[in-house]
Amino acid sequence: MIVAAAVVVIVVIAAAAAAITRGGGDGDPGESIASQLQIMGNANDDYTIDDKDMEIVDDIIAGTKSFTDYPLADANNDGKVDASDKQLLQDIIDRKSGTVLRVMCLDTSGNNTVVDVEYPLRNVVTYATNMQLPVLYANGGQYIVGYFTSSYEVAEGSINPAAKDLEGSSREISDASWTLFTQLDAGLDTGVGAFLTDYSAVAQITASRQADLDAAGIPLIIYPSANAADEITTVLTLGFLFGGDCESLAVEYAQASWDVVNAIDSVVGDLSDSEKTTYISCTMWIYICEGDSTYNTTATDAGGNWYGNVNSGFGSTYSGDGSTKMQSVEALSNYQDVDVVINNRSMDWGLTADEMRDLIIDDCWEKDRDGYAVKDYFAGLEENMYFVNNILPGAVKLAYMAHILYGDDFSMEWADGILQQFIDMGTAPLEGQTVDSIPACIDHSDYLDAKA
Amino acid sequence: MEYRATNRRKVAFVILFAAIAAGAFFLTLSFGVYDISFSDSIGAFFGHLAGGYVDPTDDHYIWDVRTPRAIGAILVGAGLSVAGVVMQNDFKNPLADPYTLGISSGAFLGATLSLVLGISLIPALSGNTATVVNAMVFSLFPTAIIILVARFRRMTPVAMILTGIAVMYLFSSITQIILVSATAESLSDAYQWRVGSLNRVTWDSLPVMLAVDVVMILLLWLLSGKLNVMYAGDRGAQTLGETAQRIRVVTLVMASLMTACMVCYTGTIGFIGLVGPHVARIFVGSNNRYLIPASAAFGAAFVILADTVAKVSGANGLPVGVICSMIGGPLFIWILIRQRKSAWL
Amino acid sequence: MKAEYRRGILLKVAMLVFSLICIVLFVGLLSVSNYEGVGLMETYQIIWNHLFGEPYETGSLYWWADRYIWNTAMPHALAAILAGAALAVCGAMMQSIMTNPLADPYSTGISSGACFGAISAIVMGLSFSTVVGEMGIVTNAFIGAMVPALLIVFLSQRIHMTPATLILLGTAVSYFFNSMVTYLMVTTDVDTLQSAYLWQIGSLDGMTWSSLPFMAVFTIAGSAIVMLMASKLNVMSLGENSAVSLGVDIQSFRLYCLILMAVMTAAIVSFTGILGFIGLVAPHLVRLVIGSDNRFVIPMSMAVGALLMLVSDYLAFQFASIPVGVVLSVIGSPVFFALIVWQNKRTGAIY
Repeated sequence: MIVAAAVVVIVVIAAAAAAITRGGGDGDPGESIASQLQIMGNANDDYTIDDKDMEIVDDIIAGTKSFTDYPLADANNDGKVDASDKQLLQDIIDRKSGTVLRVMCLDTSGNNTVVDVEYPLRNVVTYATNMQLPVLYANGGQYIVGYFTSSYEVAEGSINPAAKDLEGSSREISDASWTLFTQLDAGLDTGVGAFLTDYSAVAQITASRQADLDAAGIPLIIYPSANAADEITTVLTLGFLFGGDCESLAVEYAQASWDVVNAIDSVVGDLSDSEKTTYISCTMWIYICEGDSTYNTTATDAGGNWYGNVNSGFGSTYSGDGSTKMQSVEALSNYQDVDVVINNRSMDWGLTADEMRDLIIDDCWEKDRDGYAVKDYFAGLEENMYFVNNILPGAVKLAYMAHILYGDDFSMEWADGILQQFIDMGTAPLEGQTVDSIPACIDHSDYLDAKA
Repeated sequence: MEYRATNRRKVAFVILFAAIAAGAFFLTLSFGVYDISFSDSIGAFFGHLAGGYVDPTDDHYIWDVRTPRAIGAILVGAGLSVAGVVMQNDFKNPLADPYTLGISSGAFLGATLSLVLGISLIPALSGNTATVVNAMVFSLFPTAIIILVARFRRMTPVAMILTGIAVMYLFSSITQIILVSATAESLSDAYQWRVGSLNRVTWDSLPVMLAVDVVMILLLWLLSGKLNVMYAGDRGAQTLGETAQRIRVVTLVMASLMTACMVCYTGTIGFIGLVGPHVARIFVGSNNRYLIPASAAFGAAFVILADTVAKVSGANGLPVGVICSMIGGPLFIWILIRQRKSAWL
Repeated sequence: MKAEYRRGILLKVAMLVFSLICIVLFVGLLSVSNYEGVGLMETYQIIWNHLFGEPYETGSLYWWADRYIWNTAMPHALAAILAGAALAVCGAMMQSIMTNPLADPYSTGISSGACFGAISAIVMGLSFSTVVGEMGIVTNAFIGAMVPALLIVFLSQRIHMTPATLILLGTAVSYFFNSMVTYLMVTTDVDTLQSAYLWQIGSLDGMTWSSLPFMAVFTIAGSAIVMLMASKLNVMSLGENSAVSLGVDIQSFRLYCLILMAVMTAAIVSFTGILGFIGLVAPHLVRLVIGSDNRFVIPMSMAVGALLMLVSDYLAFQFASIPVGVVLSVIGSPVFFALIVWQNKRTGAIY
């Protein structure tokens, strides 16, 4: 498990690093989206599959380019590049229905794998919020036929109303829920197109369930999309698989996302660790995120330096990839020199001003945790504590975190502008929202205003 | 003459235990995640009392956080120990304690209703207050059931204890049904509650705890003569006389109320009702006049020290409930063996 | 006299046959699940077809139902049968050797001990022995179960172990182990807590064929040994004095019985978690109908225990798939309550 998690973290960091270093080199805006379309046949490692990929395949067949430099050129994933890849690639470029794509993702142990998916992807079943939202951000809600849990009424409102509620919980797919899923598959003429889940929820895909999916020929697509940077490629890949408007939306989404990443990188990239802002990341109000957890690495992606790197006591107490509940209000008392605290909260949107006020007071700052208000756990750090909405698009989260970490370089208006950009993009979960109706980033002054 | 001397020795032990508790109180103020030296913590404590200047951070952690927690530890230790004395006396069984009577399972059910389902018995309340009130009301049910059953069927003390255990099973099965539907978050809250911890004790919770504790312990102490008579009464008899029966019900209700009051703020901290009385009994004997104050003092010292260990054990530390059961579990066995010749069982 | 004897036999046979028929019925009912168009008859048909017929078309309703029945429902139901039978035997045996109607692996803390052993193996990778893997978990569970079991033997040599003392001891031991288990879990993350919770209340979800042989071997071998000792158990349940006068070495016999029980309980608990009360309810139900001769009570308790477990499991499945342990304690705790409040001679109450 730990090894698997480590593999994921390495993959994630490598991917993000590759993407960042690649970005901004070329004049063509499309070029700044690095690889990340996780589909075999994307030979040049960019945001889509087009004639440029065909040229590379031609060159490899002609012997002028080397296959080892372009491992993704192997469209049919048979270990060699030949005429059959050309044929398949042409079908992909033509976006021909019924084409079988080889999609790269993780398997249940966190290793890279390739699964066969029929284009365009339809009839998907989603599990885990961190996978469900990327599907919705790619406007794939219309293609969901079943889901195991839906916790956010407005944010997840674009799930196809005809989709079947398979009655799982955020923690568990029971045997009964799995039966509902298999029954759903049996009832569909073409069967379920793919089972999509986040890596953090992979424990629910037991060996026997994996065997069920394999036997029924249902591809299992797993991405570690709880991490903001990975969420971008997840949306991009899913958008491509859904095809049509979803594809163009996803490209726009990824483009805007990488622009944010590049903007952050242009400021933070040259800073040494000692110049960077230090942060502690929390979740569920008073759980401290451990060093390798996805919430923690997301803040690192936003340019922060994890406090555990500068305070070895904190670093050793909170090493690992999970989270630890604060056992008393004193838990942070010796770490008062941290610059900021980023508190990840999943908050639904579509709120009126009154609801927003209640949320800020009762569900964030004054939420009762073991007899104390949440703010008591952050005594002395209130001014530097920020709640960031965890279910927003990854890039928006990164933007707000960049604002939190480097307020002089990234203003609140800039971060709000990024959110507005994503709203305007036409992605379904944000449809009809405004910057004011979405709790995106709540700081201490918001709390004081709400109290007044 | 000799009688007076032994009595003086007993009083001395009571004073000694109280002194240990007081010492532990000041000791525990300097322990916790926040680094502060022993002298600084004492300085901050008396500085605040005297109204002098105290470093605000020191003041916050010493006065606002650790002081109420330490006072809470004293009250919990004293209250649960005295409740243990009363129950062992009433049931004539050295193994009786507030938790074997199902009081904790009742409290847990009440707390779960509030933590998981958000149900409050008194509709106007919410959050922590609702949890506390729920726990308090529900923890009185088991005692009520035992007394009710005992009224309709003449029961031996042993059968009453077993009834308590049965009620405990009943209540936990209901709690389980609720917990099945709980989200990960509230399940974790409920679990934390069940393990028992003094984290939750703040200045706000002290007035109720203090009032109930002081009043009940005083009343029970005043009744100690009556309790002695009951203890010394014919042990072979299946049932007690009318008066004794009434005293038993009254003292039982008082002990339950006191337990309920403690448990609703701290969750289930087990075995204190065994540890306090049994250690005290070794030193002062079974006369309730001395046993009640002695076990109150010893129980208080025990809980403070256990909580200090809990605080020292770090960010992922042992909750005080686990420490108490690590000490109390073996002690329970020891009591069983030690009592082998006794007519108690 | 003879007619009465024949009627007794008839009653026993009838109860056994009834239980067996019900078991078959409930195995079917459990397998039915909620596939529309796959009723009870179709389920038996699918089971028959799986054994003797052609496979169904991939992805079709019957294909999924077949997979479900064979990969999930059948191991689940068989585990229920094994767990029910084993725990019922343990309960019946314990009630006889302790001459205590309230004793069973759950109320005496033996299950909690086993649970602690198993969980410490799973969560911390901690092993009390050098054995690892599945066998390591069971070994740990066995060692955990032996703690309360040996404690009971040790104490009953030294004190007069009344039913109340035994149950109080069990409660204390359970409390002790449960607080340890809870602690182990609270320090891990929130998701592990969920699985810890499932362990503490017992669940048959996620059983696979691979766990069955293990449970089966221990259950069958253990029950066979208990059956051979049935007449000795009869002597024990007459009370210590009678047993001694009839030439039974009480202490060592009790020790053997408790070790056997610890092994059987550990073998079940390390797969299912703590399943309470089955060892209490099943034997008492049997004794109510056919009296307390252990030669009949033991096998009948197995059948009734298995049936009870299946019924509870079925109910658990019907009510939004809650874990079976919850249903067991909802059924079991009132029985426990009733046994105390309405003590009568047949169940042998002595307090």
